[in-house]
Amino acid sequence: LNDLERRLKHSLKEVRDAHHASIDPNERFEARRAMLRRLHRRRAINSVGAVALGTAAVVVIAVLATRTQPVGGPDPSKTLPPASQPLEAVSVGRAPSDIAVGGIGNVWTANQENDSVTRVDPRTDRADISIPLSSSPGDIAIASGPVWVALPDEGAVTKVDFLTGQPSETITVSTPGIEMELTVGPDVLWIVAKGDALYRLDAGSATPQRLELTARPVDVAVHGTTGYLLDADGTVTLFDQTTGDAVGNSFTVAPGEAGDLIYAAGALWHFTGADGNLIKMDPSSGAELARYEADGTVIDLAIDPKVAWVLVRAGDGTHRVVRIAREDAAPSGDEITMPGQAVEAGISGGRLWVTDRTGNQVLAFDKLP
Amino acid sequence: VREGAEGRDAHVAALFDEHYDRLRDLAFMIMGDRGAAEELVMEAFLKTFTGWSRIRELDRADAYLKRAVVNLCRSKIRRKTIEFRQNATVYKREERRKTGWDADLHEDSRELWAAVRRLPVRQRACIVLFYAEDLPEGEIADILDCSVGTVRSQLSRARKKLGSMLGVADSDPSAEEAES
Repeated sequence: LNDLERRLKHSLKEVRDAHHASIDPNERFEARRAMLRRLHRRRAINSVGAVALGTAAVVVIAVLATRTQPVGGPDPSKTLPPASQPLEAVSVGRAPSDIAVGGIGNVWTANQENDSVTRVDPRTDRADISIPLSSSPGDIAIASGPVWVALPDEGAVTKVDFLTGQPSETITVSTPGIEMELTVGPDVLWIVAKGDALYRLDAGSATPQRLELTARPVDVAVHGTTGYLLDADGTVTLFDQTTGDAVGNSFTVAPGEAGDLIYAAGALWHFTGADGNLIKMDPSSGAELARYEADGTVIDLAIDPKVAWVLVRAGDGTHRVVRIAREDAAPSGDEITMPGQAVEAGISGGRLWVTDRTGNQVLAFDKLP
Repeated sequence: VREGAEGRDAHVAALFDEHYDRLRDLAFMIMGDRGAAEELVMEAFLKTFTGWSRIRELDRADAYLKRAVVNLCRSKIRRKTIEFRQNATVYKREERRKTGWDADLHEDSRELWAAVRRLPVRQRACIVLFYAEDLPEGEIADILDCSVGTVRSQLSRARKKLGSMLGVADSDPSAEEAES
C-alpha cells in the first residue's frame, strides 16, 4: 500500500465508524417495523395489481371488440381519472393549520384549536407524537435540527426536539398578538412579525435581533447566503443572511398583507393569498419567468425536486390541489378535490400531504398520480 | 423457498437486524446523505424481499442486499432524483446543516472524505467497497456487474483524481498497469 491507500483505508473507516456511532440503535427497530409494513403493503398491491391487470385486460379486449373507434382516437386526457382518493388519512390535533416536513422526513402539523403540534411518521402513516403547547400555534418550521413553532398570542417561538418531541425553550420575540412567519436559514431562524419587523435568532442564542429592513414585512425566503424579504407593499428586499444588511437591488411584486414568498427550483415563487396568480421569478431581478393562473385563490405551494402542487381555494369555498410543471408552471392535468378545508400542503416520502382543517386530519396522496 | 408468511417475515426481520446497520453505513458512504441512505436501504429490502420466491439462495442474501444498495445509490445519483423530503415550507425554511456526526473526525479524514465525495459515483463506490469494506476486487465486480479489470481501472482513476485533489502522488505501480 502506498501513502494514499493507507490514508484511504484509515480515513474512510474513521468516517464510517463515526457515522455508525452517531446513529441511535433504536432507529433500527423503528425502521424494521416500517419496512415490514411497507413490505406487506407492497405485496398486497402486487397481488391486487395482478388480479386487476388480468381483469382490465379482459375488459379492454371486450370493449375493443365491440366498440367503434371515433375519428381521431380517444382523448388521452379523459382516460386517466384524477387520483382524488387519499392513500392515507391520519388524525392529528384540532384544526391543523400549518404543516412542515423535514428532519428525518416526518410531517409536523400545528393544531390551532387544541394548542398542540403533532408528528406523523410517513413510513408508518401514524401520528406518533403529540406535544401540548402553552398557547395556540401559528407557523411551524423545521430544518435538519429542531422544530420551531410560532406562538403569536405570546409573541414568542418555541423549540421542539424533532426526535423526542420534547419542547425545550420558549423565546420571546415580538409584541403578543402579531402573526409570525418562520424561515430557517443556515444556523439562523428568521422570524417575520407581520407588519412589525424582521428578527433573527442565531443558533444557540436566546435573544432575537430586530432588523429594520422594511416597514411592513410579511414573509421571508432564503437561499444560500441571500435572504428575500417581502413587504406588504410588494417590495422584495434582498439581504445578506450573514450580516443582515440589504444587498443588491430590490424589486416589486403584487402587494398584499398575506403575500407568500418561496425559494425553490432555482427561482422565487410569489402569491398574494388574495388572487389566483402564482408567479415564478428570477431571484436576482424579479423578472417573471412563468405564471400559473388558478380559477380561485392560490393559498399554498408544495414543491420538491420533482413536482409542484398548488393549493387553490375556489370561489364556492371548496379546495383543490393542482399539479403544475416546475419549469413553466403549466398545469399537468392532475387535480385533487379536497374533502374539507385544506390550508397547507407539503411533500414527504413520495407523497403529497395536505392538512384538512375541518376534518382534524392530514391526508396523503400519491405525489405523482 | 416455501415458507409460511410469518416465517418469511421473521426471516426478513432477522436479516434486517443483521445487515441494516452496515448497509446503511455503506449507502451513506456512497450517497453522503443520512436520510437518503436510510431510505435506500429500506428500498433495497423491499426490492429484494417483495418477490421472495425469486430468491433462490438465501444464504447469499447479504450479497443480494449489498448489490441492491449499491445499484440503488448509483441509479439515484445518476438520475438526480434523490428524495430530499422537502417541500416549499422546507425549501423556504431549511438550509441543510451539519448534524454533528463528523465533529470528532480528524482534519485529515475530513479532507479525504470531502475529496471522495467529489468522485463520480462509480469510482466512489469502488473506493468505498475496496478501502472501507475491504472487499476483494472480484466481489466488487460482482456487485457492480462489471469485470475485475473495470474495477481495477476505476480504482486507479479514482486514486489519481484523489491524489490530484489532495496534492499527493499515487505511486502504486498496479495503477499504471491497470490504466494501460
